[in-house]
Amino acid sequence: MPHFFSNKRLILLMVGIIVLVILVGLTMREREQATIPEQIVQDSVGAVQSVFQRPAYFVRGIYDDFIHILNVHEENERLKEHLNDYAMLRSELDGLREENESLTSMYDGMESLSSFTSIPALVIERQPDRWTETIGINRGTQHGVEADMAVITEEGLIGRVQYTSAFTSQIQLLSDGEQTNRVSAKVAVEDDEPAIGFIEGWDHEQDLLIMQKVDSENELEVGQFVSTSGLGGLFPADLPIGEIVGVEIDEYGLTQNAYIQPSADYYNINHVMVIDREQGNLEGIQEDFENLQEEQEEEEESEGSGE
Amino acid sequence: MRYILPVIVAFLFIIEGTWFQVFFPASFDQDLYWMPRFAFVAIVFISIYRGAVHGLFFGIITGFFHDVVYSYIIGIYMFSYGLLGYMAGFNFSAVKSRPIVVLLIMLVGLAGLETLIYFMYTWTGVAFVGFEEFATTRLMPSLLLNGAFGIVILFPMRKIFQWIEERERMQENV
Repeated sequence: MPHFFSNKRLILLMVGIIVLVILVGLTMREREQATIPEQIVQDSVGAVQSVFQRPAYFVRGIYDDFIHILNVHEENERLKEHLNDYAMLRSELDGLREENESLTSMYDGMESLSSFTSIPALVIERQPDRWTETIGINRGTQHGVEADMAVITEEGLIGRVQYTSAFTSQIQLLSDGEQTNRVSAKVAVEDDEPAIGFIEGWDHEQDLLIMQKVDSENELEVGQFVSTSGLGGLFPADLPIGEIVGVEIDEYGLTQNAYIQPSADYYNINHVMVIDREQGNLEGIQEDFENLQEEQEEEEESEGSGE
Repeated sequence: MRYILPVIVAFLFIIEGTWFQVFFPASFDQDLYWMPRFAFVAIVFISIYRGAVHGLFFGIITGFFHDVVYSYIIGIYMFSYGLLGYMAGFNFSAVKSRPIVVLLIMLVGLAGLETLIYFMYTWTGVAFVGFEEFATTRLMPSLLLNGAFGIVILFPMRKIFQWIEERERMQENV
């Protein structure tokens, strides 16, 4: 630090701080797509990261397999227990599937809230400083990924696409505590309408998701499963989120908050699926609305002319 | 071989986000945040052995890449890597010949970096933990992890710096 506070250097430091403030101010707001220079940097670094990541997953896979072999006996016992329930579940599932098909065929061309197509992707990086919880994947706009799409692993919902670039995109995990990270969720209640609420926020001390604004008339219990409701418009319905481990009435007493243990592991992720919700359904509803409005207007006109 | 230092820094920068995250993944029951700052450790060594201006440029470029690749706010890492990379430039032979002093400067720089980034993230509304919690769950693990990493790479890197200096001297003589 030789002569750090000489005049010239002090001026340079000031210029640096001003540039910092301007850059941070310009880039802080939520952006759907990165600018072209950023995309070039992201995509080229992303290509190098994929090259690094594939052999790492391979080695990690061998290690995991080794651990699995050590636990194989225990696991076998557990699986045998599960197998007893399997036959029953299977027959139930077949019955439900048939029922579902017959019911959906009654709706003409209506897609269900839960229909989607998925884009498989490889996780190529994870934010190392962990102030924000984000991961990068090797799929971008060229593969059909868009901002705000849901991202899942085989275990459940993990986050949403924060912003995209041509060949890579950044995923914001649900464990990132930012308030813009909001998901409409539902809790299946037996013999009743599902309870609707919002997943917003992350409890850093217990590492649990917080579900807020659930009507206090709904009876939430520990052990109930939470999944996406499909009502938010961005995420399809019935993506698993987790299991309730605690319930409390919120400060005003009108709604209740639930603490949710996520079903997916947010840390050990190799492969994810980006969920592209089929929008045909929503557009259909919109068209219906427009037709309805036109009809009403026509009726009003005809009524007006009749008088 | 002119590009050996940029290649080393780029390699360390890449493994921070890839290999480190695959082989040492965090988990829900871990309370401490182990943040790798391998590229910054290398930048401090470069700044001490090659001069503060080298540290400044390595810092700004690496920080820029860190900002663009890992977060959407640009400027935070660019500024702090550049500033601390420059300030760590104690380019005296009395320092260079004492590994303990070099490591000490590296640790002080690291603590400065973590604190600076903590305050900047608090300012931009990304971080919302108290300073005490930050010091115990992030600063301390970071100093341990990256300090250990610094001890591992200091001696190989000193060899590289000596080798570069010898080459430069030979070229001057020619």
